[in-house]
Amino acid sequence: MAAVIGAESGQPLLEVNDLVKHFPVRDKGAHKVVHAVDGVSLTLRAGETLGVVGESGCGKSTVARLLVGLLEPTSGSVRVNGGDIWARGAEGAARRRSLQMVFQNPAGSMNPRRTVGASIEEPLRARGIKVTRNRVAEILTLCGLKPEMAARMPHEMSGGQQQRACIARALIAEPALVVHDESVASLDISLQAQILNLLVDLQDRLGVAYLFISHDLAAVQAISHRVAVMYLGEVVETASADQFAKQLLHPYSVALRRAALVPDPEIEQRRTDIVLSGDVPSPMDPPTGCRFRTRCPLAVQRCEDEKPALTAAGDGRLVACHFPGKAFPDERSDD
Amino acid sequence: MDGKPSHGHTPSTTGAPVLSVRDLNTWFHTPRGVVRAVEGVSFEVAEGETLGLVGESGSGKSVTAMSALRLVPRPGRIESGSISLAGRDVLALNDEELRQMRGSGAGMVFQNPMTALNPAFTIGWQLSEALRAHGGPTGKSAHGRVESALAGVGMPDPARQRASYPHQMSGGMRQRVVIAMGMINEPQLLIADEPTTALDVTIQAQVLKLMKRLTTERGTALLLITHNMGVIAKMCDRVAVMYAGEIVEEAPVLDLFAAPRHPYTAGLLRSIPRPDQTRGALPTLPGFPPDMADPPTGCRFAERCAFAQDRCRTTHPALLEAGPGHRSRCLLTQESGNPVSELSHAGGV
Repeated sequence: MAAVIGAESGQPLLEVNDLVKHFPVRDKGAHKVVHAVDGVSLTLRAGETLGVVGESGCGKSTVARLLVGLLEPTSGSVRVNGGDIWARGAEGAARRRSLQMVFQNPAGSMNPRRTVGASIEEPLRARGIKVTRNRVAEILTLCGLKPEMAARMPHEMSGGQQQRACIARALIAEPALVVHDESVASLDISLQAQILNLLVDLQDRLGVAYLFISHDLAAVQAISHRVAVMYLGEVVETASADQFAKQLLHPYSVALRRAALVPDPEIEQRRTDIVLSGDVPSPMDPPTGCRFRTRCPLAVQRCEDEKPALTAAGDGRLVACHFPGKAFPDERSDD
Repeated sequence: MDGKPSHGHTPSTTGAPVLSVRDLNTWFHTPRGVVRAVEGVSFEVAEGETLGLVGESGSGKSVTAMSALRLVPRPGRIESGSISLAGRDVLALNDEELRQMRGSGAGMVFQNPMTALNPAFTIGWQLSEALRAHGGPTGKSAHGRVESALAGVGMPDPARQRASYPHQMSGGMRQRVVIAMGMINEPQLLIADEPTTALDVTIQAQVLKLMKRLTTERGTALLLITHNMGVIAKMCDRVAVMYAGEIVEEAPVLDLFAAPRHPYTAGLLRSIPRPDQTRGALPTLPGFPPDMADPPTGCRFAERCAFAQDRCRTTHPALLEAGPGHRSRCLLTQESGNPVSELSHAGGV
């Protein structure tokens, strides 16, 4: 029933099926449920990068944690090479270990009291594998750091070097998939470009797959083969990166693209904005029908009554909208 | 507002500068030595004008802004220079005069609205406090001013929102409150340090639009500090680019983006992924900025510069005219009078 993203030839590396994560919370004494992730399905082939874009509260970080097994789903499944990551015993554990993660804040994701080398070895040592100094030197070099860096403490490195070390740690155990949760967001522009290039280069050499999560559409496009846009716990559109660069079909994707500023004053100072009004609604109480309808310039009664399913829109694209690709009305600009 | 192209690069006013900073040196005295966070920085912001101060972390852009209001945290110290704000010599003010200057001479908006607001008080209370501190109306008589300030930043139902606490609002709404607070005493200058960095892109668009509207309507000068070249492109009339504690280039915004005259600016602009970008190698700037406790003797960017020649490593360039209204701290573009795109590579890189 749930449409699957990127289902083409061959056994996919990762299959995520109708993934749901609800967090029970208490709001002013009442029991409520945060619908963090609601029915997300996606697949990823070996060596491929799937970019996931969305704003705060869209559930992208929860998806990241569900994929690497840091959270257990409320329902739905995550499969690696056909096997569930929550299978009992050693099998499930081995599958979870083949998934690694790189976080946004590199300083906070390394132990400040251990050398960088010790942190990098940890994924192997934790499963009883003896790590040679050569192996650490090799992975550091691969990530563009000098082997001597292994002896440094995290605070003795720059932000860019720290993030390279975190990437090295994620890669040392030869994972099939590395999930990046805003891994370049805290870096300066010039460093961000260096790290994005490094990730593409490492993928070409090692054949590792990435799930690259970011709020930055341009950064996602610079590294991804395919892109998925999330809004309020759901995937609203997916397409290949090429299709994405050319044309967007969901009004939220369009708004996201047009809200992203380009470094070009000729464009920026001339264009009339479409500015989405209001904030993302609370995931405790998502709108009925289409979840984007409360902010959508195209919304009509049907969008409230009938939830649009994620359906094929040609060329392997999927979109969840009753009016995919429809142009926005000429918007009056007020804030 | 009217939907017509706003050519921000032609400032409508040519009034006296609201803020004038001359030869500012702000250094940090650390156990590691003296870190020259800001060195020899000079710039002006005219009435109604938006000047962007752009740079990467550690470039000195925030310290420059904090220096303008004498808010530099210890162990930082303004070593020398002059700062004139709304006609007053900031470095000569006593504590009380300084307190008056902050808020009524210049308002401030910082990156994180949660730290700029007191979580224990309603936003209405905090806004009237800002009024009271500058001799405005107090108590119930302030309500009208507070409500119109909230309405002015697009807050729905200001009479009710007055009683809200910061945690009851979204990030975008909180930043609107901070902007309302920064503007409530009608300052001549608003200093905004990464005002939208913590916000989502669709919310960022709302907040930038609001700041543009308010400063245009009231003729407020805006000093906008950001690392985001897209924000600069959208908001600014002129731009000053900072690198390693110095301004390395300053120009009207269209000039700066179309024909950068410092290789750092050119490299930075090239390394930003564009929206029509697809998977592939991005041009990058190699290396990273120098240690400001021990800056290089020559050009501070020479080590990362594809065009650098021997003299770039020995001669420290001054910030000089390199085209109409365009200043650059690069020996090569000063000499040739051409933008970076016309320079020939030193070879290799």
